[in-house]
Amino acid sequence: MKEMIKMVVVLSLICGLSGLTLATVRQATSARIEEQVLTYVQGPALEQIFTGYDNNPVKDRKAFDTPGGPVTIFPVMKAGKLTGVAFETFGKGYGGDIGVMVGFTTDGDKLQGIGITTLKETPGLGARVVEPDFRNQFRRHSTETIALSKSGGDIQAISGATISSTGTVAAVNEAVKIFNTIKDKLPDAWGS
Amino acid sequence: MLKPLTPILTVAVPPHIHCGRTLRRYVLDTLVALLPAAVMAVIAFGTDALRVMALSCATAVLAEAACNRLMKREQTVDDYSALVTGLLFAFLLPASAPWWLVAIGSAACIGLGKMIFGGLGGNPLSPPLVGWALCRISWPAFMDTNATMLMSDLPPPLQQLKYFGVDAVSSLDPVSLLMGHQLGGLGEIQIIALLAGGAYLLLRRHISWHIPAGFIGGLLATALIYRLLDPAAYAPPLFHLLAGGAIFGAFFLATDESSSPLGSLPALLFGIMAGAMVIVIRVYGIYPDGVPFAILLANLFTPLLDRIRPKPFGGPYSFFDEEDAR
Amino acid sequence: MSSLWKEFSKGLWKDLPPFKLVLGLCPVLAVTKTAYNGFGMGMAVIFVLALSNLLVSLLRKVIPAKVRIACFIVVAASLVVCVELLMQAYAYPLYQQLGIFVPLIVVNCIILGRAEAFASKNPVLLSVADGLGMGIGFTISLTFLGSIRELLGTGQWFGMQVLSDWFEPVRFMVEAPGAFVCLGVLLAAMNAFTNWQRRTKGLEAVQGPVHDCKTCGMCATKPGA
Repeated sequence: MKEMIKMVVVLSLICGLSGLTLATVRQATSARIEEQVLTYVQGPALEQIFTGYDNNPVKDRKAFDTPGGPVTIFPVMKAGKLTGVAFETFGKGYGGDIGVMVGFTTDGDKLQGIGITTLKETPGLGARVVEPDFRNQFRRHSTETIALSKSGGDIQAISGATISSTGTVAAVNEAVKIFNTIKDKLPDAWGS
Repeated sequence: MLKPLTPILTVAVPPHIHCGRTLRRYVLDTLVALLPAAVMAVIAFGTDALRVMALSCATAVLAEAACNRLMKREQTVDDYSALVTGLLFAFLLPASAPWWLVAIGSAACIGLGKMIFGGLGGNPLSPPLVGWALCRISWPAFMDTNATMLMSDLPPPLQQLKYFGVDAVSSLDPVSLLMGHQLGGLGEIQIIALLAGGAYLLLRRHISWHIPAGFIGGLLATALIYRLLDPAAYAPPLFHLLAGGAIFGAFFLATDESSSPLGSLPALLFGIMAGAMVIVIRVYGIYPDGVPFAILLANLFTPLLDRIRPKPFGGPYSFFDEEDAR
Repeated sequence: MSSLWKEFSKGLWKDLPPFKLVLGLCPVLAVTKTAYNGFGMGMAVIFVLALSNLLVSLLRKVIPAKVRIACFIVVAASLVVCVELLMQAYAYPLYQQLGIFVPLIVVNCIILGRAEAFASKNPVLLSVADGLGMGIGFTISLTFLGSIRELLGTGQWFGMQVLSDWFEPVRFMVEAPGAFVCLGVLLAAMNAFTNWQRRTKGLEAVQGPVHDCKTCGMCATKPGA
């Protein structure tokens, strides 16, 4: 009986102590981890979209409420003036969701470009949506009538990867819809 | 009295009757069966084909000799099996393959595919396919039979099917495919010559009919199922049989002695499995032609299929069940 | 002091984890695409292994024998989660590369193996020396394997271009099958080297397992045989 009690006590103590340690470490690192995730997952996509900005979009991010839930908006500024915004939307791909960072200019109704954040598509086929040949079709594209060429638009799908191409386009259109609902609030948010 | 020069009676241990079949004769027969396809490859692709085949064969023989020397084993190159492996590997390559790719691939066939498992008869996978898989993964750009042969006006049927859909291949005539008017590996597309070679092997009883029949049957049946599901999206079964390396795989790659099962039922199942896999890979995979990978996958099932075996006379001595029960 | 050095150094060659003990093969095969990945994984293992040996050795008198495995696992798991969080916070690119394999350190046989076989029976200092030695041996092996695969597979070493344009990268080497082939060839080379060493000392070469009548004994156990 005594042995039994000792077993239980020791095991619970060890588990409790390790739980305490983990909670402390997590507390201490959580803020930094969030920062790192945004820098390394969303950051490269932002760099693909925008050039010539002087702020840190990840650091200046703000969350906006939209009908579809909160969206984190990354602002791009030059000399203190807001020049564009970007945020992430998801489209259905062949191997899971494709995360697409869509950038808009503040001055007009044009896309600045897109960048891919996460994807699990087939290498050599669907994964080619990250290649500049496909992405650059969205650069300075009008926000109206974004569609694949087979649906009457002017975006050339990647041959053999219709699902991935469609998913990306759907994500971009989703972003356009969100952008239209928040467009007016943007200048106030970053004071320019 | 002196001994007569030719003895009247010879005293020896059995067996007393020999059929004259030796390993070397056997391998040479395979070589003869491959010869028509090799000749047709040279006619179709010119001296480039000759260059690739000669280099591949020479490297294979040298690699086997080097491996034997390194492992301090008896030299085995005189059974010509390395020569056949080299030729089979060359049959899978495009005529434009650079020399280093041919040399590395052919050496890998022998080194990684065969000698590392103890030489002829020990390989669990078909040696030419091991080398092919290594090259296909490493240098996809050089192994692409379509992209490296742009100056040729032959149509690449499987690439067209993969990238442009079934409409693009509907104009291809089965008879011209049969005569080898298509783009692919050197020898794998000389369908009529390979069929002649395969018939020769069957007649000489070097291969049993089970594996080729199972392979072709499995391929046609699977292709037919897809065709019936949606004729607009999937190519007809005959196209799948005649395009690419299906015939080559059925008669020459899948029948590799040590990597295919022994009995007739296992061999039949093995063939069906490989044939069905070809279509599955052609339909869903990212590679245009699924034959080599399909056969490699089927090779992996060989030990399992080999457990289907007849009961010994006076049995059952079920050694294997006891082993499982432990 | 000499025993301390003995425990430390055995992990470097005599009991080199992946090649001599053939333990912890999951990360050895999976994360050695590049030398940097192998090195990073090795560092994480050094940290976890040394600390888990330390803790297990400290607690060896307290832990009841019947629940020792559970205790070892709890200790190793907590350390691994710590490493994962720290890696996320301070070396995120490495974390992206190693991904799922960091949590898998928990079930890495080396951690549990050293805790059970060594740390639970030996004093603290020796255990830490053992953990450090094993961890460093593991790191060296992983970095070595990663270097070979990266060099042949991409022509680079630690991300630097080493081989020039004439070299066509053997992409096979950075894919999964390349890991198996590379490890197999390395193990064969290690065995050949060990046998060569033994021969120079006049000893008999180590033979692989032989399957003959002497080692089998199937018929002896069969009833009625």
